[in-house]
Amino acid sequence: MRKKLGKQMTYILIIFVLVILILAFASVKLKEKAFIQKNTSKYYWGIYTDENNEEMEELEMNVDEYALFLAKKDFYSRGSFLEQFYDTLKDMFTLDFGNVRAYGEHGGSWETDVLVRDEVLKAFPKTLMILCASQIVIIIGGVLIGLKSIRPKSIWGKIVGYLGPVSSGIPAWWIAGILVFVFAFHYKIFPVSGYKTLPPKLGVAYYFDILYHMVLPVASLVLTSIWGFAYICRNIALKEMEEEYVTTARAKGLPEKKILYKHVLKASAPGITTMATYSLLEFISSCLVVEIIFSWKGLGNLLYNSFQLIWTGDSVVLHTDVNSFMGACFFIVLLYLVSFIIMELVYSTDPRMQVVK
Amino acid sequence: MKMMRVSVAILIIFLAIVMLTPVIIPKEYMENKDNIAYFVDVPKGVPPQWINIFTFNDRTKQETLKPMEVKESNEGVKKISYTFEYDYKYDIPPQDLVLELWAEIDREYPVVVIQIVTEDEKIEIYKDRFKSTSLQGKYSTGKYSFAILGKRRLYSRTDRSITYEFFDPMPVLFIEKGVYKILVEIYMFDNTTIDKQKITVMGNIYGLLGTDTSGKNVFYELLYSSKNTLIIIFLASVLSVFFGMIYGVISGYVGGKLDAVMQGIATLVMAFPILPTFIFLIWYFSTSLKGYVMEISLLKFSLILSLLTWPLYAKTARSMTLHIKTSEYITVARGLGASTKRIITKHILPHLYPFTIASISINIPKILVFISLLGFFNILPGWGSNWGSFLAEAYKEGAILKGMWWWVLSPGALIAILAIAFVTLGKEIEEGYNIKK
Repeated sequence: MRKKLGKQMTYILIIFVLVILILAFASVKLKEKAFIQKNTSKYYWGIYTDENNEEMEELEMNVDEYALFLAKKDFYSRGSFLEQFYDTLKDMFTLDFGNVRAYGEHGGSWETDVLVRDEVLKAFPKTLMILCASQIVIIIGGVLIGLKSIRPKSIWGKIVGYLGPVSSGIPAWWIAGILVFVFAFHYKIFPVSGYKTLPPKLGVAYYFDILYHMVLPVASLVLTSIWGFAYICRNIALKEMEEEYVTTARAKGLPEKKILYKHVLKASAPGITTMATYSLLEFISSCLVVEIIFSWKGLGNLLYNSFQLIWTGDSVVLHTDVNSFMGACFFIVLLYLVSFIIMELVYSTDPRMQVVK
Repeated sequence: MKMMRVSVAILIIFLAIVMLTPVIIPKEYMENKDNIAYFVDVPKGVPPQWINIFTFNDRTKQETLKPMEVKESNEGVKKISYTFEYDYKYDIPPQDLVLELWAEIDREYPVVVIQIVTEDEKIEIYKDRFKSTSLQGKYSTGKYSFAILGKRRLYSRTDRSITYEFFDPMPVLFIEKGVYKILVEIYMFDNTTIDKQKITVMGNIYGLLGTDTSGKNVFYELLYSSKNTLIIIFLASVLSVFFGMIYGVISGYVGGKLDAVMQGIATLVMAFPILPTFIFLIWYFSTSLKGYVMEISLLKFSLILSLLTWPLYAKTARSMTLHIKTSEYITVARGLGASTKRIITKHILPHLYPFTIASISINIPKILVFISLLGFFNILPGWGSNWGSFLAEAYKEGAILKGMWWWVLSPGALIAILAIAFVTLGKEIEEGYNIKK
């Protein structure tokens, strides 16, 4: 058992290291692309105004290729790929992602004094808050609904049987929009967006205020994901119901409820936990977008702000804030990896899995 | 089986609509999709036409008026006056009156005066000079005085009608129901000629599903984007499921070290958060060097999408293969000397086909949801918009806070219907397969 766990841990460690390496690699590539996109017009200008482009003719390139070539040369004049890769890796472990870039009306952008690290560290707990709250509601509610719907012909069974598969095809943020329209815009019960009222309340009321603002985002996430999870729980429990010990328990004369909540739930717990962490992985991306809808200043909003189209009056410019993007990415990857590690651990500690292996 | 028929029927209807799209959408609309001047006389952000059935106060319908009477006089300056008649029979007045004409300008731009004629007085609602760099003129009273036609810019100032920028003359003019006479006088100081005059009464309701904030017809936009949507989701889903299946079967059947490595790669792909990774890949592989918008070809988009979603199917296929592998007939086949390739293609894959088809159709809604997220990050695959990006645009334009339900509900409802159809199909196939087993 312990040996198996150790093997699993090295496996996870290898994956963790690989993910970090790939992230650093992606970061350098992203910076290169951003540099090229930002500066190409300069190179084109240089090529068109310079009459004797001997190098271009020597290399047998057309204008586009030559501009790209020049841009790449300039980018790597700061340091070779490996050097930049190493620097990025070092920065990643010290959480030093550089400064936030801001943009102006005319498409220009400049570096501000704000550190990406501060922004990300401010945003991360907020994402975690929504994620945890909705996940807790989904897991508890999903298990309860799933066990209630164990008979396919009961009302709950029918609801879960239909909504379970279908709800995966409905965007959470669409539901979020409808909830905002009904409960925030039409009836004005809940706030439209944000995470606290201004000016912020003091004392205990501050925390209740945050909870109050969390209701709609969490509700939209729960309403879309709970059915799928309940469906999974039901299927796992149904499979478990076919086992022989259930028949034995029934023969002993145990009440059905006791069998369900004491024996079946216990036996299907590892499967349910695995599926819960797995659905968390799928869940994160819809959580990030729901954040955007409610302008909840989490990682999703950070990601959103780092890729923006700006209308400058006569053309559309893509504003890319690579530093913020990488910062947000790093933390989302961390979040992902942690839930992934939990999933793998649960999977490997289930004694039945070891027998199969 | 009954549900399966229903879902197949829904899918066939969707396909038929996609096929009929070029017939349903007028050619003129398609050609002028990016032409702001074309939408000058289209009301912005108004509900669909059938809303009048449900409300007490009737909203004004969109209408085009042709001149009833033309008078020409030449006393020093050439003056042409047109009389239009408008039968107003609604409760909520129109948004605007838009005068549209084609002019061939000689030297100077003509002056336009628009009046509403009642029994005892003439109310002047507009008086200005055309100032355009284009020969064609689409002209509007009130708020709209700037338009782009084709690639040329046509532009006029509202110095003298500046009062109308701060107050809307329409509710004051159209108080009672009845026939209104609109008199348009155009003064020309040289040999300028004009023709094709018409006045558009800009209503408060428009089309089958209303319009968005830039005046685009929501119904047409939905139809137009459905082709793109269907192709993307189908392509991406098929690619990801097929790749996952083959990968999983090979990994499961061969086993040993190859299995460990292959599973490691699958786990590695799964360990990446799909949304940021996808944005990064799309951005990196988008070909825009000079232009800055992230546009990417359909095939590349689907390939990247399937590259990130296959591991789940690979894992399922692997576990199924492990299950089938222990069956006796596989042992027998191996004993008879069948090759690995033959066992996989003849004995294992056929068992997985129903599951593959079911997975494809269950995967489709997930992919639809995922590409709908991408609209928020300005990623447009293929030829322009899909339902997701259309919906995301509605959110970005604040359609919810403006109460524009027709723009938000319709793409969402289409996504939901398609999801229901595909999921039911997948479930039915899965169940039918289980019963046979």
